[in-house]
Amino acid sequence: MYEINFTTLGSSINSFFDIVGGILRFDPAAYRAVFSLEGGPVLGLIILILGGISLGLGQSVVLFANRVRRRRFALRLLSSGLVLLLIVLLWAGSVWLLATIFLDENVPYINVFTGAAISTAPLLFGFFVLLPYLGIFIFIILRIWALLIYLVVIDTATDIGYWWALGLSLLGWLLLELILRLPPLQYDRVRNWYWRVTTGTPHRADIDEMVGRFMKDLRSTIGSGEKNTDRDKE
Amino acid sequence: MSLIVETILFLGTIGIILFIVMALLSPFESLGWWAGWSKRTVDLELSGERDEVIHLPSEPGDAAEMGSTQQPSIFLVYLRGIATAVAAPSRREQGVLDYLSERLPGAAIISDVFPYSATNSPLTGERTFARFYALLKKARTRYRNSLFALLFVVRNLLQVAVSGDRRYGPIYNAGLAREIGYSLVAQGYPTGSGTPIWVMGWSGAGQMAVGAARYLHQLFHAPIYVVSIGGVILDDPGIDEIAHLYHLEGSKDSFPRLGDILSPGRWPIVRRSAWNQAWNDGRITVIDPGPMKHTGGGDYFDHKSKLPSGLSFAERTAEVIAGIISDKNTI
Repeated sequence: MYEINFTTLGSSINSFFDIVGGILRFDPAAYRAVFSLEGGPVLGLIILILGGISLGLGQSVVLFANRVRRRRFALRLLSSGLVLLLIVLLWAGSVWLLATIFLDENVPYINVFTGAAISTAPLLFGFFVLLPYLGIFIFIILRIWALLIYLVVIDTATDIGYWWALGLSLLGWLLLELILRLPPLQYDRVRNWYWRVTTGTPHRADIDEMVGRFMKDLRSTIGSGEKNTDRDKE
Repeated sequence: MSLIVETILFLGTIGIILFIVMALLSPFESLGWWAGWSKRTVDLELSGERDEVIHLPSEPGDAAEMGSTQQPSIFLVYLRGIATAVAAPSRREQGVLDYLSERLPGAAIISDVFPYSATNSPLTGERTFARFYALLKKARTRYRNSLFALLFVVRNLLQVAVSGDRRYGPIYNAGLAREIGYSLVAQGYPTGSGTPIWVMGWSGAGQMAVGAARYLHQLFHAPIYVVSIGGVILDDPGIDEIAHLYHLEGSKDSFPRLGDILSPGRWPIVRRSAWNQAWNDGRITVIDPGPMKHTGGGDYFDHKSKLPSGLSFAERTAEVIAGIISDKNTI
């Protein structure tokens, strides 16, 4: 039996770890507790934001590559949680819209959002993506894990079954991608603006681009110039 | 009895946690350097304010002329295996390098680059845990074959993983290539001449050599040859930039197979990987130098173990490498 008790710090931490453990173990009782208890959506929100920050840390190589300063780095990590929250809010909105159109069930938006939020619980381990060499595989595993939790959550909360849940989540994602790319929303511009504001660097360069610039500078210091530009293979 | 089991379990758990923490922190040394978070910043170094001042020759060949009368014709960089804390070769390794020096007159053999740091900073050098590593190094010298070496191995092995990771590798390997580049120029490497560069790495340094090769090629526009001595090599984009990879694998050395298993790009089904393409192009040659083990007694640098011909394992290793380089140099 799960309880959500936010009265003291100790009980909040206990409730959090207890329920998150159940969510990660695919325990339907944990999902039912989140939906039935008063603090459920708040718990989902906390999981979501912490998961976003953790994954932000796991994928922070791009910030290092762009030579983001320490304070900006911290700001960017904190904002990763809010960005994930925004994405899930929108995604849950598109899933809810599709469910309302295609299904007879009248599922409240807050339940769709809470389900989507708690299914991001595996992202709490997102910092493990930092691990050299294994990190990329861990990222894939976390995403699959999150999707599976989402399917079980939907199956527990509604009668639509796994396939409908999978179809709705994928269609919801497609719809969101389509809406975001509508010209009036200027998605790329907003993204670049967000990068500039949070990192303090002019644009998001990829690692190869940054290293390429570094090698060019280094070449002018100690290198050869333009001779023998073929690949010198045998 | 249960106390022993509990103690073992406790120590095992501590070991696993320590390993995970070390693994999580392992990319930060090179990333911190790159981002300018550490003392050794990229901009400082590029503006000439390096930690160690290297006087670059104003014209190709000046440095060699300052030190000797003859311009080296072969440039060979040696990178040590993973159970090490500093760049300087051990006595056993130096023996092989001396033998190579005899067999390859006119060769500049460079062994001052510590391959497990993107900034060529030895573990006992300027770093937070330098004192700890220095103590560990002393303990390892006193108690040979103890577990003290294991920490060096684990720490350096994680740097090999950083080098082989597509996300961190470009930064790490560019830093290492820069350090090798500085050493080459300091040894009189004639920039712009296209003189081939040989990079030789033992064990995990095989991967480091391959990783750095990509950027050495970009830096000097010269053919880069890699000699791997029992190297554990991953499918690295650097392979694409190598003129030829010579991989020495003793018949009693199973460590290099780790590369086959751990690197999906080396699996035969991934046909378009850098490794498999190099293999199909004939740019990888595997050589069995004899019944060498990976490390310890009977390894590639062992002067005591002998072949039926009377050659020591170390002499045989040097003979094979000298043969490869001589053959290539006379073509």
